[in-house]
Amino acid sequence: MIQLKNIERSYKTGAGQTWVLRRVNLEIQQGEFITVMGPSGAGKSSLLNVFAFLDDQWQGEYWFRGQAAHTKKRKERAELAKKNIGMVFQSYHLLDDLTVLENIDLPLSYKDIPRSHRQSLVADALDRFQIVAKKDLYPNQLSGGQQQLVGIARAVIHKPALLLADEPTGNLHSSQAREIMELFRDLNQQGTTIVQVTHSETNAAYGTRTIQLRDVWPVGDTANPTMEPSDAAVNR
Amino acid sequence: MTSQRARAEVDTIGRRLERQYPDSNDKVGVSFLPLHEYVVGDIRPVLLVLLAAVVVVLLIGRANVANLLLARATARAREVSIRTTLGASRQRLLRQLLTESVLLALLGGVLGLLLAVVAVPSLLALSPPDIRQFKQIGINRGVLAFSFLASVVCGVAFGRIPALQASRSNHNEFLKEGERGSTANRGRIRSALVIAEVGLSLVLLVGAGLLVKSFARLMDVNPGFDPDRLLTFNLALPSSTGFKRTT
Repeated sequence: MIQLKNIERSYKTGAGQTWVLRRVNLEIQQGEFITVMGPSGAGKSSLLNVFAFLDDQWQGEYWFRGQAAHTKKRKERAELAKKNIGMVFQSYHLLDDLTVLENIDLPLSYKDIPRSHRQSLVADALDRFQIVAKKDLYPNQLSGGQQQLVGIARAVIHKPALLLADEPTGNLHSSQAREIMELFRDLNQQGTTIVQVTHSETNAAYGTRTIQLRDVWPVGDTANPTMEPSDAAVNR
Repeated sequence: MTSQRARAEVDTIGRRLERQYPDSNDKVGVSFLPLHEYVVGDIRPVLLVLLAAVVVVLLIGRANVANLLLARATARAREVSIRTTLGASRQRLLRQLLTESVLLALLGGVLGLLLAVVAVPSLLALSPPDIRQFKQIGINRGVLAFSFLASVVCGVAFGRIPALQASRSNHNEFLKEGERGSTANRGRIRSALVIAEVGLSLVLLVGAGLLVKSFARLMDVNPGFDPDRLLTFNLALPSSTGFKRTT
């Protein structure tokens, strides 16, 4: 589904370059549930931003569902992301002045979907995530777990093939975190490919494969045990 | 007929009469004034200066509002980033932000008009009574149309900068935990707006200062007589009373 070849990302700083990702080679199959782990500053979020097309300053090759994303223009990449990718954030990123229902409807409102169809999709999502009773409340009237539930409902409302989650349970206590992770597992079993970034070993256990990053280099992959940990890192 | 031509013709007639009736018409000329100028007098430049001052005040106000909108855009960078992540195109975001700023400007326009409705009668009570045209001043269709147009133009012109800024920012910076993203560029535009504001205010203040100074000097002019307890009035003598010219 996704193939990264020699993906690199750096920022220009006063004196020279600061690397945030180096030589990432990765292949992700449809239906996988991948966990990206590593200490802070290892490049986890940067990798997720590359996946999500939120960042387009990287070098290398990015193949998305057979399409060469690296040759596409910014607008085409945004279109690709809009159709195929959903994102869940650690701090939920719901819009405070919209109700739960309006928040969930937001991604659909940016697509050419008839209103009646949109309404039925939103009703389905509210039902599926058991938040029908909360539909007219505003995010600040919800608990953290409920807000993240809305965040996930919003991310999967347009049935994305790839769900990206950046520390989705980082702000939740353990019982809420467990609920969210079980929800991810259900979504994955229904066919959604998931890539999550987390510090938590418990959360990683829900995944089918773990990729380790350290100091901006990929150093481990459970699907590829023979991967030379930091063969490049040694040569830095 | 232009006023110049009319003046020339009246001059010619006056000279002819002077030649024809030297007894009664010697050294008597004809002066010519358009009715409008006769009624309004030399108030036109004063009104133009006043209009310019109003325009400058409007510009200062708008620069101020643009600054506030920019500050608001900074606060809303997170929202714009979220919307972008969820698939909003740049045009769509621009449209949303511009609609908001135009609505805001229209609301400001309505408030201004309401203020005008209340304030115009009081201001007119202060106006010199001999200029009759002041009585016509009020809120009419022209004023409404101008206010509407000014509001929309201001809304678009000054809402564009913050809207463009917000839709151009680096979105993933605002979505990261605890980061507020880069505001350096915004800082530059805001500085430019503040500089423009201060500049325009200075022009206005210098103008007002000069006006006050001129007024003070005018009050100090010695008329050559003691104006205290003096009554002045105009007299028109009927032409058929048989007075003879002596000078």
